[in-house]
Amino acid sequence: MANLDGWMDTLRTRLPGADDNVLNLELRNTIREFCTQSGAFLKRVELALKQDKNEYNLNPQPDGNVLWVHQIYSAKGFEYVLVDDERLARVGMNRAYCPSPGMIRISPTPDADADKEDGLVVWVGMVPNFNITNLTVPDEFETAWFDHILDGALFRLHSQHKRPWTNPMNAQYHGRRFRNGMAQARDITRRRFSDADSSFHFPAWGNLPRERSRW
Amino acid sequence: MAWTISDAVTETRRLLQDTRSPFRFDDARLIQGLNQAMAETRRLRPDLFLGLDFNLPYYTDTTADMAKAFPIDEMYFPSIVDYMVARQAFADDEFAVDGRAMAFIQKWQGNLVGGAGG
Repeated sequence: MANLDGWMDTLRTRLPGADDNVLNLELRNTIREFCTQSGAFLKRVELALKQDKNEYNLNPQPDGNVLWVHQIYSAKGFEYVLVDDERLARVGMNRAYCPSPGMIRISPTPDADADKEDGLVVWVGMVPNFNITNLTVPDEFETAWFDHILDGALFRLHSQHKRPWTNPMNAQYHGRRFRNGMAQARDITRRRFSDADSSFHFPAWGNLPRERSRW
Repeated sequence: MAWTISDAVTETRRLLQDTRSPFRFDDARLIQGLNQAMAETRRLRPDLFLGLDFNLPYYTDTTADMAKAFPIDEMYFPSIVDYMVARQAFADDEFAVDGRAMAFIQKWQGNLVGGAGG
């Protein structure tokens, strides 16, 4: 896990007059928004199944709270299809439904055999626990998403009203970069940092010939 | 070494050219200026009081209070002193030089809400 020093040092040099408390506050707010929007704080959670129990709460985790459920599969490797509430009870395959953040409901309900030999592996998107003083984030936040988070913090700080570091033009610039960064992080995270197919589909109008795309 | 409330009073006296005892401005009066500086700063820059849970500090001229650490980020120590000087300069009828008081108050305000250079 990485601490926030790298971001804090950069913000201190770029925003003269801002004290550490306000930098830290906006940096935490940025990380929370980044995690919420991108689901990039990935974690593998293992869950033991219990007989006749089909609902499991993944929260709280030691380092934060589960917001997204990316993928669920059994310890044997069978994937659970994430569906809505109505389709949960249909027979034929393993299904899971998330009624609220961190809560999963699975079908079929585990029987006595499943309890002994099976469990669930859940890939989740987390939001860090902000109540702790020395907040740490996963290492990839520093190695892969450093600039995106820095852009988000600069966007928030430059857009504050009547401060020595207020700068609406810079706020706009960094805000645009931050939003693009979150979208990129979301896509890369869903593809698990590889060139695997993305679930993102290019919009239909994007492929139209120039003449047809005018309308 | 961290600045204290006593340092703010000493620095204010130096700028007011009031360093010889008996002082024209007693400690209680200067500390009152400090409390007002904090209140005005809290109005313009609430973010500086985040570390104090946004509570406004209040001091008296007791030895214990004088020894307390400067409550907000020390890069704003000179700005608070500027306000304390201006406050006394405005009130001092006999020796008042309004232009000087205005210069100090504008420097304080510029440092808080103006450009990075004040």
